[in-house]
Amino acid sequence: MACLLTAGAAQSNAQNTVVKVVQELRFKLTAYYQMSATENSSTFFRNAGKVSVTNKDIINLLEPEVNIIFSSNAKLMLISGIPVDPRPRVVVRDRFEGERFDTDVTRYFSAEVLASIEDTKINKNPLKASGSSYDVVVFEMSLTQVQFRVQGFGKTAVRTGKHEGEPAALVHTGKVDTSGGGEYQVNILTGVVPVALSGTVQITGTDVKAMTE
Amino acid sequence: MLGLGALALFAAMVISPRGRTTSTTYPGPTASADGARSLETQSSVQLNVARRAELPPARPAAASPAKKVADQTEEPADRTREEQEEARVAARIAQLWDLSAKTDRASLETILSEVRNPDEEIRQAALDAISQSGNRAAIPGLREAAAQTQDSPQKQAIEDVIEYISLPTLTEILRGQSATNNSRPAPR
Repeated sequence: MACLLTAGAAQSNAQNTVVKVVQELRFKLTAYYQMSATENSSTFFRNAGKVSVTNKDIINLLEPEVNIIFSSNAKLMLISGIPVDPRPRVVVRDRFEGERFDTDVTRYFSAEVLASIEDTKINKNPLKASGSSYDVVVFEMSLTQVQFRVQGFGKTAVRTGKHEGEPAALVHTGKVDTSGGGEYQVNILTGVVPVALSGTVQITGTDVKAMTE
Repeated sequence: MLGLGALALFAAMVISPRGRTTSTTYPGPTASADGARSLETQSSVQLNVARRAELPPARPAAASPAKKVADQTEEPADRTREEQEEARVAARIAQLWDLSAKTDRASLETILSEVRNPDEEIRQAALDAISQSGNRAAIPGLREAAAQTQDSPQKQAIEDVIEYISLPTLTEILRGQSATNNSRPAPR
């Protein structure tokens, strides 16, 4: 999302090289689930359980799907095409023996920008964007064991992303308040547990990179 | 060449109308050839303003005269200072995020030392970094910080982080090793 709406420029001269906005995603969600009912002599209790869901949990869930054990330094990244990309890719970025590698997990964990309304000021010389944007973004996880979908709204900051020192895109960064629902399967015997989710997704970074596709 | 093209397209993109309200294709300008080799020209601006006029409540075509004057009088030195300060804060925040991936005591202490930083952005980043790390070893330090904080919202923010990292994580639940929650979820 952040780059939710990247606006701007550029496709390089090389046939398969395109310019993308690369940003980091940080999820901080709380999942609420119904616990087994209890009772005493006079009252039934239907209590809610709470579980935290952060990047680590999401990356752990993705590991078996892509057959990779990621390191504790692995990051969730959002890769957006420019000028605009309503369906940016999600990748896990990690290092192995000093080499950085990206694993595309969009198939299992996707992002979609539903709306982005900017309220910005653009300096013409030097070209520089500043201001804010009202963004709506959806993240959806679709795995055998866990499925959830959260939708967020946030007032994000609009910044200028540069490629090789040149302004190349409008980049949106900030925190988006999200909520949604889903379900998870604790194990085969336990069955499926519905969950309500609430929290934030932080989108940071203004890097614009040339990538080969 | 790429830079000039980027600059021109960037300008065209920024000024063009954006009427998208659904998740269908975004009607922003594509990398058309008309602006590809020129820097932002007056004619291209006029063209886009004209297009915008056809749309219902669109964003203002240009800044108001008063705003323009204010913008023009903004001192470059002020801007530079502002940018330097922004860069300093951003660098510190990036350091905190890097440290949050580490599990050693020194890294944790560094993050904890910023929980009461006077700069709200840094303070919030430190709390976010701890939440993201899920490092429960931070709890005593956070309690101490909360006890020393007089500011109610700040105290509440710290206590929220304590509560959050005290929760069992989804990974723990799925692996059947809940840290604090002994109750079973009720299957549907």
